[in-house]
Amino acid sequence: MQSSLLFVCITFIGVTSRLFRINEPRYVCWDETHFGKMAGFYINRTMFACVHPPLGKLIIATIGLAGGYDGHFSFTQPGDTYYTENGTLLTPYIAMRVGCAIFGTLMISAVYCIIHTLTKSVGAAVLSSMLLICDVAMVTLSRYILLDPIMLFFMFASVLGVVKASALQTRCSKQDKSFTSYWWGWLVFTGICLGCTLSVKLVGAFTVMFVGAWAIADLWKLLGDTEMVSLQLLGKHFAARVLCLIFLPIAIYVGVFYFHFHILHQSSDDDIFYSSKFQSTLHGNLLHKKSMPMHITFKSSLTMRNTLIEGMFLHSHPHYYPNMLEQYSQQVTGYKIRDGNNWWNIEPVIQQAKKLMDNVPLHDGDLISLHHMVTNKSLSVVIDKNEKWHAAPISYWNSMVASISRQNSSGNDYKNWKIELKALQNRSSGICAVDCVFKLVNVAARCCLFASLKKLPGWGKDQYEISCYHGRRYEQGCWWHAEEVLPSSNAATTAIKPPSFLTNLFESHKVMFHLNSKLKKKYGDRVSKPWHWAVNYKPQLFSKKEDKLYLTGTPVVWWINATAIPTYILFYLCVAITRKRKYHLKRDQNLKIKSKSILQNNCICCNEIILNACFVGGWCLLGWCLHYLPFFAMSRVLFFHHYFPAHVFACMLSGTLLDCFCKTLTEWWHSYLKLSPLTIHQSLMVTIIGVLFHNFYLHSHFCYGST
Amino acid sequence: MLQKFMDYLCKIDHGIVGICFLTVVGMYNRCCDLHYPNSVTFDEVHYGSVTTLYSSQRFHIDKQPPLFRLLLFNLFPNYFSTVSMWENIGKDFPDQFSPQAIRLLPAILGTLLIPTAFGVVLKLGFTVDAALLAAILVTFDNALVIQSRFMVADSLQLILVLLSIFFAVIKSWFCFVLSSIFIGLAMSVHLSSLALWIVIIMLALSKAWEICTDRKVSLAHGFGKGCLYIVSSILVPIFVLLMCTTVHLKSVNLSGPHDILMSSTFQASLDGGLKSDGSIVKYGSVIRLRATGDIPPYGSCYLNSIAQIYPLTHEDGRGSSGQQVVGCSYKASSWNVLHPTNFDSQNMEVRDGDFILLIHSNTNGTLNTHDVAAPVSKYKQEVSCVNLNEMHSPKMQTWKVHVVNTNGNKAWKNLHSKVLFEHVNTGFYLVVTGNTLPEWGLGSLEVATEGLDETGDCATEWNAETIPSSKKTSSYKIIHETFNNVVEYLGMTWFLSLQSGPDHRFASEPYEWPFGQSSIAYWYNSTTNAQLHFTGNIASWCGGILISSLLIINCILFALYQRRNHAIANDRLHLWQKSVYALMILGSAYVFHMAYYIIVVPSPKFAYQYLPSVVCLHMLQACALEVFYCYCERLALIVIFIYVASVIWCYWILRSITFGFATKCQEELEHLQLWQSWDLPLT
Repeated sequence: MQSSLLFVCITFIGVTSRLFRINEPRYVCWDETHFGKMAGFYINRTMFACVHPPLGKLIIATIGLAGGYDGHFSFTQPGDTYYTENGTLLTPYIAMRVGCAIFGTLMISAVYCIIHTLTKSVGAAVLSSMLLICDVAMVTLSRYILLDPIMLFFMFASVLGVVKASALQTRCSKQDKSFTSYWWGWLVFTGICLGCTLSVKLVGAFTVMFVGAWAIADLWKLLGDTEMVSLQLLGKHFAARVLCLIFLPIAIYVGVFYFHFHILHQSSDDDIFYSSKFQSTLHGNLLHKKSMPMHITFKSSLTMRNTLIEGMFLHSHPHYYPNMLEQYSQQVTGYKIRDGNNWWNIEPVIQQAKKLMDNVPLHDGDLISLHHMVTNKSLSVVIDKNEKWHAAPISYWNSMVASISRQNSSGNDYKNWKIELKALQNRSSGICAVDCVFKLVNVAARCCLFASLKKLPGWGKDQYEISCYHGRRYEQGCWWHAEEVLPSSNAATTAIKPPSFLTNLFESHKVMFHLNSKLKKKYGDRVSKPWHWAVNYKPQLFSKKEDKLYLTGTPVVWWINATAIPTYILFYLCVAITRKRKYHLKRDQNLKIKSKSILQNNCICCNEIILNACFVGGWCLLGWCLHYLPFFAMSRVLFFHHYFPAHVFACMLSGTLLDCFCKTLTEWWHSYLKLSPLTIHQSLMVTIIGVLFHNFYLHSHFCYGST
Repeated sequence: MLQKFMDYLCKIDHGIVGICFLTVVGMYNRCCDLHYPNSVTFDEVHYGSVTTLYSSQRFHIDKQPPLFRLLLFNLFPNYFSTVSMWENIGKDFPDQFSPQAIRLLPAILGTLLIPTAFGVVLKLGFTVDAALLAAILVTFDNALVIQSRFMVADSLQLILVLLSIFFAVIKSWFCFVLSSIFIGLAMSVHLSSLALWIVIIMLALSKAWEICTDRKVSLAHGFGKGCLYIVSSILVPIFVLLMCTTVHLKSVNLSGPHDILMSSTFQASLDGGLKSDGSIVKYGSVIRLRATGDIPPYGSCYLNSIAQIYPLTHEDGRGSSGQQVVGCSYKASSWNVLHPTNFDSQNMEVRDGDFILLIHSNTNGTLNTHDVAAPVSKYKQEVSCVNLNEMHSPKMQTWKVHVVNTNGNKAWKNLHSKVLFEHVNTGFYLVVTGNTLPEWGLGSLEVATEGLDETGDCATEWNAETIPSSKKTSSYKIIHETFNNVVEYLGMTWFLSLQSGPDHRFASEPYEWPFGQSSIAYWYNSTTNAQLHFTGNIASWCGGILISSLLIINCILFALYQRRNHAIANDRLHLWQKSVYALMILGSAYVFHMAYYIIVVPSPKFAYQYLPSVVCLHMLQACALEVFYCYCERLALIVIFIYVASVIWCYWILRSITFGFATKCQEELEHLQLWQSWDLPLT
């Protein structure tokens, strides 16, 4: 009863603190520019490329839609005002912010329930959630249109689920509620929330590890219980967890992506990141519903695109390679934009003159030569007079590829290319457009046409290097496909086959990781380092400079957390050593704790509360480590807000430790001061919460702004 | 004593015979024909050319700490008297210098790996047979063989790493300190040994835990001893590393080619290095300005100006008429410090908070910044040099000096002080942005100004190197403390090892290593078509992964079985404990070493960097095979026999590219392409 009342109070205070002045500042703040914009894309149904999975943005879009956002406001850059000059609202940003803030509050309620379930102590639960409520940084992070509050909610909801589920299992067979509907409910809830966490941000993977570790520990406990748990029952437990904690999250994750592809079908500037087949599904794209000749023939004109991410077109333009003795070698480059200079004519090599008919499709192993349509020069490996190949400009172990005048008869063999289809494709029918992936092998030089992601210097007009690769190791750059093929007369045409859902899923993940790997940090950038976070070293500006809204923690909260972690480790070591050395765990009458007497008498005061705090704290510490330490190994740009999942775990740890500390103090003082334990305990709690509130009040201008 | 020793001999008689035999075989395949090829091969060119710098005592620095090169130079000083010998790969050795002698050192160290691996498996509590198996796998690994046959650091690192593991598993504190010394030495050869250091620290922690919780000793005693383990595992290797570096720095005390990478104070400590006028920067001083800290990609950055204007206009139509100010990695130009109003105030000291003008000596341009976007970083201000005239009054170009490390004294100390320059008119600070300028900048770094961030941090702090004016003859030299020098040297080594190099044809990614999918061409003779390639012994590499994973599965299953309170025979329990212990040490050494290369080291990475992991894997699989032998004797025996035979067979097949035999035709080599991804033959 008391705990439910407090739960309602905590939630109420949370909501109030997060919604206070939520309409300020009245302009786009920080990453709102991304997530607001992407919500707009969902409403406009425009395909885009982003490093995060779709669920968070989908939720924001849904809230926005419910609030009346029509996708017209573009969230172009931070600082753009939400109002026109005469004060009319351009977009219902308040609804979106409120939505996020509610998620942020529910996270605190979840934390309250987690700690209450684990420690069975209302005090610990209240302290943990108060630490979160009174943290200025947490308030700031929950008030804007960001993915973080949504992710944090799903994270701690899944932790709550798994904690609740195992709390229902007891050794006493009468009270054991395994496989009841309650139990199933919590387990399914965990699975759903895990899937959602992962679909909001991929750092959810650390939470999956945490929940996985919890489930393994649970099963390990059951495994050791040979009296109560038969192997068959254990098998059922195992199967239930595999079903709910592995398959269900995967299903949700995949489902979210299905929904994502279902909603988005308009073309945009981000199309370039996707493959030609994917582009053909987007309305407004050049390839959409385009009919193509069924096969490429010995007289087709076509553009060719590489299968790398952001694959480029084979391109040539009337400029020459610099510093070359062979004067007439025209540059061949990779270009990411559709352009007239991407067009090539296929011609058969002379020996095959009998195939000169128009409609004979190309087959695997055919020899062709490629002529640049605009300049009428043919693709060739550059050789000198002694038939030695030239080194490519950047990848110097590859040979150089150029367009060479057709009249230039020397080294004619080096203009012939053999088409080799990628394995697993149907070799009998001819080579088709878009679908068929092939390698172009230069027969004379024994190398294949190769695209690298290396930019040429200034003379190459910032385009990419194309060369001829002699080895076999890096074949990723060697695969090409025809994109547009000019329809020849009387040839059968076909539409591009839309890719399957799984192909799309796979491809969009490739794009996500590609974009993520591009976010590299470098010298002089103002990015924070992971060690800054735990000590609240640097605030991060959220608003325009003059409004001074920062993401920075309430000092007291962060000090408590920063001391709680080393304290817990020491505490744990002490408890573990005393237990391992089998000192008697009995309650001393006078509760006098003096280290010497402990060592001499082999006796220490070590009661249920301490052991339980030790257990709960251990899990919190594991969560903190799992959500914090991996960032030290990441090479991408990092921001302060990456710390917050770990921060919540740290608050849970501090809450538990503080409560344990208060209770121990109460027991001591009770014998000295002759006051009732309740009075001492409550006054202690009130003092701590008072200090927290006071400190929050002092620093609240960082989140609400100064009036 | 003697009796005990004899007993010991009797107990491992076939072990002694076996290991002697294997060592002889190993000696033969590592040490025979070392004079062939009689030319510089692959990484020898690197080690050779860097080591020659010792002969002139000139300062140098490399991506790895100096122990191996130090050893080479002190053992064979006359090999490193001329650079020309080590100029490029494939260059023949001169007649009077046979490569045999110098390659013998790594070859012998490589041979010693065999008995050491034997010893480690024995000390982990496994039988002589398992130990022999490990020795066989080490003897017949083509990768270990070829890497021992050339003048490269790997076999030294490997033997040190193995010795460290060997002593770490012996239960005595003295041996543990020995192990810490060896890991320190291994780190002084190659930084990747850091991975094993973590394993040693983990081991120390677990030993400390064991002692603390042992009821037979008192808590205070156990606690003290535990701390001793932990402290020695951490401090001893650091001490050894520092000592090696100190020796290196003592033997290269002349200014040399890599001076420029180090801080100004470091350069001043080298003979013939930086000399300066006095300890305090004064109005009228001529100084060079160096950005402190390591700045990618070159490490050092000096403020420079070029007598050309910025060749670009921004989208808003604005551009600069001032000449370029850039950062470059060499000592390009000097700057004159002047008082903004009082040009006669020569020789007054500049102090924290004073105002100055900075005049570029070569062009007489004055350092200036204005609200035009910098060439690459569009949100920062461009810095340029302008000539003083009516349009540009000196007031506009005034900079305020902020000395960061004042230490009570507010003077701007030459070499020592870290200084920020604030442009008075705009309040922006001079920084290096970390961007490289486009092609017109010829690889220089962009210099710009920006405001301070929320905590008042500035990206770049500068320090001054004053240049002696010709009139004065007495020069002032500061001796930087040795300890600071050593730490700075190691810091720079670490920084250099984190810089990615240009792409390489034979570079590979760590995920290709466990199955030996990458090969490296070392040497090629076009007349005899003899080729040397680095390839692993596919059989033992792939087999090792498979067998070790089986061991892990076995350990997990056993733990589950035990948890169900099933009665377990004592010897099985003992076997399980042994294999968990072996997994903890060798398995984590393998994993950490791989993690080091996956996470820390930038590309290009090469397959020979996998070798420390491979040795651990060989020992681990030998342990695993013994475990399987205990479970099913006959079957395991047959499997082990076939496995060993296939390992030796694989070694035999690949020997022609390991030793570089002359081949008749290309097809012969194409036959050896066991993996599609191998890049052989070379044509």
